[in-house]
Amino acid sequence: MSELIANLKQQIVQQLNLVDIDPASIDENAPLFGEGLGLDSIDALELILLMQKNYQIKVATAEEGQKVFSSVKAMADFIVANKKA
Amino acid sequence: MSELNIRNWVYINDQEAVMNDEQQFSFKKEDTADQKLEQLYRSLGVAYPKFFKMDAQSKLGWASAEYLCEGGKVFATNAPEERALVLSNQKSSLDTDEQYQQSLNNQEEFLPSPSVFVYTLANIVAGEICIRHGIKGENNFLISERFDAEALVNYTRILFEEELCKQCLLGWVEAYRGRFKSILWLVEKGESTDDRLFTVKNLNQLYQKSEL
Repeated sequence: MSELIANLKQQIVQQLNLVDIDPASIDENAPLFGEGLGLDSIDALELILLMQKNYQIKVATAEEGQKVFSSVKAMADFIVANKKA
Repeated sequence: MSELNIRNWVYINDQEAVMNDEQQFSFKKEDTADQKLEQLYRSLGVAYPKFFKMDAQSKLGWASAEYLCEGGKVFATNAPEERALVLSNQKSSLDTDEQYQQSLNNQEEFLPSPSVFVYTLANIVAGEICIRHGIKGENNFLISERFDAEALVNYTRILFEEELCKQCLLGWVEAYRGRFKSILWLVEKGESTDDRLFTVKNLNQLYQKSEL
């Protein structure tokens, strides 16, 4: 799990062009939107792409997205729960 | 109406950034456009993470306005609704349009980027400048075959005559396939020397200076 979280942090920084942010400094339990990284609605769409591209997992609804993208830890939990065998 | 004068002007091309005839920054010839625009951003000493999400044209316009507006100081006396913006270029948002089109053409990995898509409009650079400097007055983006000082002067004069603004940021912003060029003026009413009068002749002369 810790390796998955570290990878996710790297991928988020890269996908969202968070140039001056050190992936290791991201708190995996902190909210991704509103505070913390201060992401916006376009970033949310980019995170959906990230899940699709890197993990072949689709986030189906807005309600699901709110939970999945609430934090890096929530993203990692969702990946583990939905990854194909 | 009292005369309109050019308070500040700035140009940025592939070689340098110049404000009011003084060089602010020079680029290394061998660097890419991305590298040059990032160096320019770093040189401004401003923390604005959104910069890195912008396309090249918006980065260029944003950085040009940062110089021109002296970090926002120039707007101290007027309300956001009294600040106008009139930009122009030849290629609209073609640079980003082409990048987005390429991602649509990739059938093997069909994942076009939303963050690229949002920059496929010329006036997005205007929006980025308005957000940064709280400009809430008239704004427009003119597409023309070449730099058209007469159109810019006429349009801007109407904004002042109709009392739609007290200050106007105007000019040319274009980035395309690794090359870029911007020239912006900040115009307001007031006393002026001949070379700072807001005239077609002066705009054309200053534009000539910005040519490589």
